[in-house]
Amino acid sequence: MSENAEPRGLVNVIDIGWLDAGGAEFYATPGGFIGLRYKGSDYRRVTLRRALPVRSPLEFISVADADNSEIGIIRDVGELSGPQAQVVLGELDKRYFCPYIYEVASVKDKLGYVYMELLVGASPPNGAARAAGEGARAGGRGARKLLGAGNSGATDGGRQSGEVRKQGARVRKPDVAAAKPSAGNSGAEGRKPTAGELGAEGRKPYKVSAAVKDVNKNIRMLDADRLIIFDVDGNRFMVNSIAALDRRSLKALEPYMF
Amino acid sequence: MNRFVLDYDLDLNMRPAIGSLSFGEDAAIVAEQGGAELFRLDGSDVAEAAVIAGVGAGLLYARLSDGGERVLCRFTMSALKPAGEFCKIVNYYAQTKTAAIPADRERRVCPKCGRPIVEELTVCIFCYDRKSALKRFFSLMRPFLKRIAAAEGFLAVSSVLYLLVPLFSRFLIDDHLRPGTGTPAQVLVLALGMLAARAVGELIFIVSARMFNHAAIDFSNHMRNAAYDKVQRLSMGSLARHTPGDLIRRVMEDTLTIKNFLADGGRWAVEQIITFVVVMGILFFTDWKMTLIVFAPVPAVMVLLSRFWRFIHIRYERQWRKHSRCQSILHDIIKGIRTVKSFGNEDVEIAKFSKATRELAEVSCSNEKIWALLFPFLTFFTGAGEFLVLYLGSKAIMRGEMSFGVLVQFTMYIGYVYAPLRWLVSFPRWLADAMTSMVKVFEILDEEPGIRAAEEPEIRPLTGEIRFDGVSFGYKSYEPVLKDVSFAVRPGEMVGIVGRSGVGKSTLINLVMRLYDPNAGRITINGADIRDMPPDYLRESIGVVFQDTFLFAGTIYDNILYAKPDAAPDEVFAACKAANAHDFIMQTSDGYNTVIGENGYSISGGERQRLAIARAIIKNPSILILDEATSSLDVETESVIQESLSRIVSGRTTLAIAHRLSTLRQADRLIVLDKSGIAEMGTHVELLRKKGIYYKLVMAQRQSSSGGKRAAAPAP
Ligand SMILES: Nc1ncnc2c1ncn2[C@@H]1O[C@H](COP(=O)(O)OP(=O)(O)OP(=O)(O)O)[C@@H](O)[C@H]1O
Ligand SMILES: [Mg+2]
Repeated sequence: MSENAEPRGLVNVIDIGWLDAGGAEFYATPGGFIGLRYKGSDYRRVTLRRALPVRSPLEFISVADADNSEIGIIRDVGELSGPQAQVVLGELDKRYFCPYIYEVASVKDKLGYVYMELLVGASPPNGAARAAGEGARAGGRGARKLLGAGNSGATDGGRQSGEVRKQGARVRKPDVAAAKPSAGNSGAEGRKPTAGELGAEGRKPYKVSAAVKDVNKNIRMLDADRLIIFDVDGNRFMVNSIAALDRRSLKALEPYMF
Repeated sequence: MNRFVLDYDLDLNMRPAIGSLSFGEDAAIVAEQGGAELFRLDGSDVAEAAVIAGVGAGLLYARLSDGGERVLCRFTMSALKPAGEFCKIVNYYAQTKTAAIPADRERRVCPKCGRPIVEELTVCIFCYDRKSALKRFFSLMRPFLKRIAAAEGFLAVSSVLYLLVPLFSRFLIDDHLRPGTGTPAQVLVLALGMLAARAVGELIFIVSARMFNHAAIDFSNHMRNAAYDKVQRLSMGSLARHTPGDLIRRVMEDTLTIKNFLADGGRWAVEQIITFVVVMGILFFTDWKMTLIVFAPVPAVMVLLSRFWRFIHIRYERQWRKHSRCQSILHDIIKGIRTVKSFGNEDVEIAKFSKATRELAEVSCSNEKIWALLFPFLTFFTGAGEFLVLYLGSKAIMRGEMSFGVLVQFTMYIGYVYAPLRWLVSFPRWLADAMTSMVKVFEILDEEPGIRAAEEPEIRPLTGEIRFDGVSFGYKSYEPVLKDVSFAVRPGEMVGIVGRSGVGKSTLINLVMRLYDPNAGRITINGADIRDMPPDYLRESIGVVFQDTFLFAGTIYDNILYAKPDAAPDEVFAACKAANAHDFIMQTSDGYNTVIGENGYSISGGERQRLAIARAIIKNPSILILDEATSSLDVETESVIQESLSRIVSGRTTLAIAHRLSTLRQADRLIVLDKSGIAEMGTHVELLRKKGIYYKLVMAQRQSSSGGKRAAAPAP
């Protein structure tokens, strides 16, 4: 080793393996998965994983092949072309499932479990208008969708939640146009809904029940206004805006909010 | 026809749906959704079915014989387990071409209300009737009731004596102080009577207060011990639900709060209620109209108070949690202070803690504020009657309808009555505080009522074989760590367990120790399910060295005695010699009496491990479990220990985990774990011949160690 070599920055030494968005071609398979043609290989089934599901749900998406070894990391979904992004967003919607809470019908606290009856829906209650506006504002470099905070996200959730808020990232469903760096449209009219969102239209809220163990860990504030609940099965439910929750629901949740 | 049915709850686009996937004896997979058939697949076209768990939802797909893959259904996490079972059945068909449809699964729903029963409980949380905290409180208090009743009796006598004083005043004023009525001797007798009543009353009061205090202290001790006892007995799974700070708070502080409430609040309550009843009786008897007027505002205040109760209750709960959070942070940081300092993060930690304390202060402050606002308001309302008495009483005297003495008596008694009333106003707050603590303690005492316990514990010598029968386990039920693991370790055999980090090796021994119970399958020792044995007995027969050794603050000697308190010194020395710890212990000036700090900070990692080995073998266990027991040791020390261990180990069933494969040289057999369970099993030679995972591991380690040597060699 030469003596005057400066220590090089970690990122220069370690190859993170960013996916070259230009050379990647995601496609939907007839079987319901997504595949990827990349650098001469055809991966017939790939898995998408968010590295920072809470903070940056549309950035840092790890792409792994069927054997779970990483092909590369998408730095920002916005780097992909429109149809490509649509495929990726559609798949993320399927992998990360976290209905929004409309109403808390009842809460029972017994034997160390909290049993909740909830009214939930696929999109945040009356969040459409606000979300569309903010989505447009957040356009430019990657609108952030705040869905499906993973366990990993939970750990970064606390510290980074402030940042999330700064980014104004209350996007209901990311729209492909906004996710593109060159997004020119603003407002709700010009939006192209994602695959997931197409289904979301006309979806009615529905009732679910959730048993929650260890409420200190499994009912958690993501930031000042959002709350996430993990049940014993591994399902997750989110209150998109506590301020917008009705009084009764709020009262029911209040003892568990910190 | 018999079909195995998997109910799924999402359609392929993640919309909620009611659908089912079924597999029957005709070997057809049929999907139905919304009452109509969606598709049908011939089982013989399916090479394999598998589940992929996403985040919050999962899917089941089939690999078809033509190589294609197809998603068959999607579902929320609630259907993950049955989906796994579905795959098993389909895969069994794919391999054997026989459709084995199991009988309908046992549906875990409550027979009473039909709601699903939570995993790992045996009772429905809706229908299980937990006794109310207050009821539980009284049942726990039963042994102390006699003493408390006696103290109450004394208190009642003292209160009544105290209450006689205004009567004396009235007689004094009306019968003796009006001109020309009494004599000085009579006045003296009355005055002495007043004095005596008070003096005796105070004396008895002191006695009763002492009795109360003693009873309260004994009771809270009793409660604290019960809570501590329970904490010790909780399973690892339950303990993981609480932070250490949380548990410490429940055991220490909440019991103290309850004691204070009993000693002060409880005593007061009785005293005030007696006073109230007696005085009300006297007042009513004296002038019932006036009495009614005086107490007119009281019912309204009571209604207001009860309304207020729920509100304040939640606030106190929140205050409790904030407090608990502060304690947890403190505990965590103090335990990890070395890490904090080595990262230079003291300021960050200070900020974190002060944020938590500030939040606690804010909550307490706002609670106090509400209280401060409410209190004068309520006092004023309850007190309004007092003014009415003065006004109406004066008028009555002027009209000659009431004697002066009666008015004096009245106002004095009203003072007595209002004290309890005012106190009633602040009582909810005390009660809220105490109830919160009470509930917290009972939460611990009540934990795990549904966990299976052995009815007739089996006690037989645990010399025999350890057998895993289709054991599956996950710390979270939806994230399996061990899947369908089956193997047997013969008596006296040493089995090595290898596998990648995080594959579940330590988990496996946690199960043998019964720190957790498997989700499926069973573990037997000598043919008896370990769940049917008393846990103490099981653990007494097993010597274990955990991967993260924990030593308590105390001397080396005490730490080793921890495993066998009645061990003779020569046993301790023998154990330490076997663990190759004796020499380094003797190097210290205090020898075996050397105090090692909390968690053994004052000795090296390898020394810690050697003490842990000594601790594990001193009780002469029939089963020895070593989880990376020698990983921090140099190869030479390790081989010395191994030599002596091999002498100890002979005749004992041993499970050893190690990454360094040379550690497992002496193992009779090796089990290689991978993420789907047991990948390979056999002797060293067999596995090498097989050229599978183990072979690769051995080759990789050989290469890196020879590579290491080359790098270490001095440059020419
Ligand atoms: N108390 C726990 N709660 C939740 N998950 C746990 C717990 N302990 C371990 N795990 C998880 O279970 C898996 C298996 O852990 P385990 O400790 O058995 O691994 P291991 O094979 O002993 O690894 P290593 O060789 O690194 O010691 C890991 O993925 C780990 O993250
Ligand atoms: Mg381990």
